[in-house]
Amino acid sequence: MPGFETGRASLLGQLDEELGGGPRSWTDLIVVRNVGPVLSARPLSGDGVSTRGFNAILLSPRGTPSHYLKVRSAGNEAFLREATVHTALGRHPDARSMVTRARTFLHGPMRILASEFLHGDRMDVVLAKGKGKGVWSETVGKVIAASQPFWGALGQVLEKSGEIPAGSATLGEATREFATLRESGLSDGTVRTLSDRLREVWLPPVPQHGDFWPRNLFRVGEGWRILDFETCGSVDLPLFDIFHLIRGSVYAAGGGGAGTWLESWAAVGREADALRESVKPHADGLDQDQIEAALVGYLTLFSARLIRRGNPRNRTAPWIWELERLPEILGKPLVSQAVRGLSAQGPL
Amino acid sequence: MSHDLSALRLVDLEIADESRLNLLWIEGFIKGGSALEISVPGLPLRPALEALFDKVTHIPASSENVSGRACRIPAPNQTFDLVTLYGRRPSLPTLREILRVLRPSGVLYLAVRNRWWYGRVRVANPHPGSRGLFGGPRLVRTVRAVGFSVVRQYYLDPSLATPRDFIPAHRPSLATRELTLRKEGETGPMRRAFVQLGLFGFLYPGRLILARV
Repeated sequence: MPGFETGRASLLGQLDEELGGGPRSWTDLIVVRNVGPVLSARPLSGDGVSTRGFNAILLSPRGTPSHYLKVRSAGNEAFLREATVHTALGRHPDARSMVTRARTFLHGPMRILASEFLHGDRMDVVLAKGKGKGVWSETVGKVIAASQPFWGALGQVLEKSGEIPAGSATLGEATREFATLRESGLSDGTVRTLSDRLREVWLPPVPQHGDFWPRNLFRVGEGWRILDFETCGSVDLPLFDIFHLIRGSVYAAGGGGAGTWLESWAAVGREADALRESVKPHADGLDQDQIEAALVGYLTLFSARLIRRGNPRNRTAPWIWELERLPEILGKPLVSQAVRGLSAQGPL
Repeated sequence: MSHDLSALRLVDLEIADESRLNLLWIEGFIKGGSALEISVPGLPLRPALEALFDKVTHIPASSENVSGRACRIPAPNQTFDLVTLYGRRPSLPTLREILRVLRPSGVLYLAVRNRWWYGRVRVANPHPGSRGLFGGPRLVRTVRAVGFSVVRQYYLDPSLATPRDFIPAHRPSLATRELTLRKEGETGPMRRAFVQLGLFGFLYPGRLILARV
């Protein structure tokens, strides 16, 4: 194959070997997310390591996209974990309908995760197009229902890999993150109130995707696919994924300013009813205090993650604002009633 | 736990500097030989070059040695495996000089701002010397005419300084990229119109040419 090869196999050559469907040429590789140096001149640590590399779209010789590639440093242990979890889920009988088949291999100092290219629409785009047409609740409900087997499969994959969940969900970690949030502007009063809600609450550990939001969900035909398994299993708080999906989908559908999603399940109407129905199975067995603690834990952990990754203030401020408002919102009778309706105790 | 965000931004810039050379690695061109950087202020490739090559020489891209008629690179014939010029359009004499100092199978890594980018009308020319910053389709023909045997062109997006996308200047590749952006809801009516008309050359702020002797 013509190219600049210097006696060492080029990336394209290895891709043809591993994935088949070649021979490909230089025009068949499109770098779409070049976020960091492949070989850094200086040592990077922490989040710097995770941003070393690029993503790419690989075309078939016919000129149509065949694979989506993630290329990162071979020493990136978090990426190795992501690749291992993704390939395992893609083979699991319960999850394979929602997870793209993938394979991982090394090329020189880099690790490549190659998954099938999805010809579909991202969920946030679907929701934005359906704004005002009642698409929101139906779409979210379908995604939650279709994804049910995924969470079971995730638990099995993690257990098999030795990542057995702890005896209780990581609410202790959420409590420790209040220090980070306090430095970003969360008031002492709110910290005390939210800490009280977490105190002496036990939650069963349920492994979560960790970033289950509309930009990581693709509609392909009548079904849905889940993307991006970087944070899979890093959180085991029940309802974490559900809350994140609802929050992201409300905003994608143009549903108002920061915090409006918190009251979405207290609303009256067909859409809110449908939402509560789809969430209820995931709250199975939890009482009202546990559901509220899970919500506090979700907002706390995700806000802290954004801050630790160096996100700018305009991205983290809405989260801090929601945490500030959370005690007041949970105290509202309608919201409290709706949450109770989800719980094992049932509606008042 | 405090969080020094300014330090993180500095790391981001350094990451961007080095990621401009990822295409060389993708092409399998990691030689460990010698490289020449004709360096442009604000667009350094030095740290990444020094990680990849045993010996790196730098000369500043002044208007005389890049855009001028009498360019002379102070090096013997066939000295370098790689010459980079990132952010300036070379004159014909400069391209001939680059060809002279490159070894057989050596590579030129050349990036310029895209003359035909539709966003150019919104960007004020920063200084009188801005004419040497832009390049169009003719630049590829010129590089070929000088004597480079294999010439590949890519478009860079969203900017020369931080190229997140390297898209081969080949219709199926460009069409795929634009379709992906459309599926992600990131294209407006004007961009879709350009794509419908096949006017991909208007969409991207930068051009990158990889040329082999």
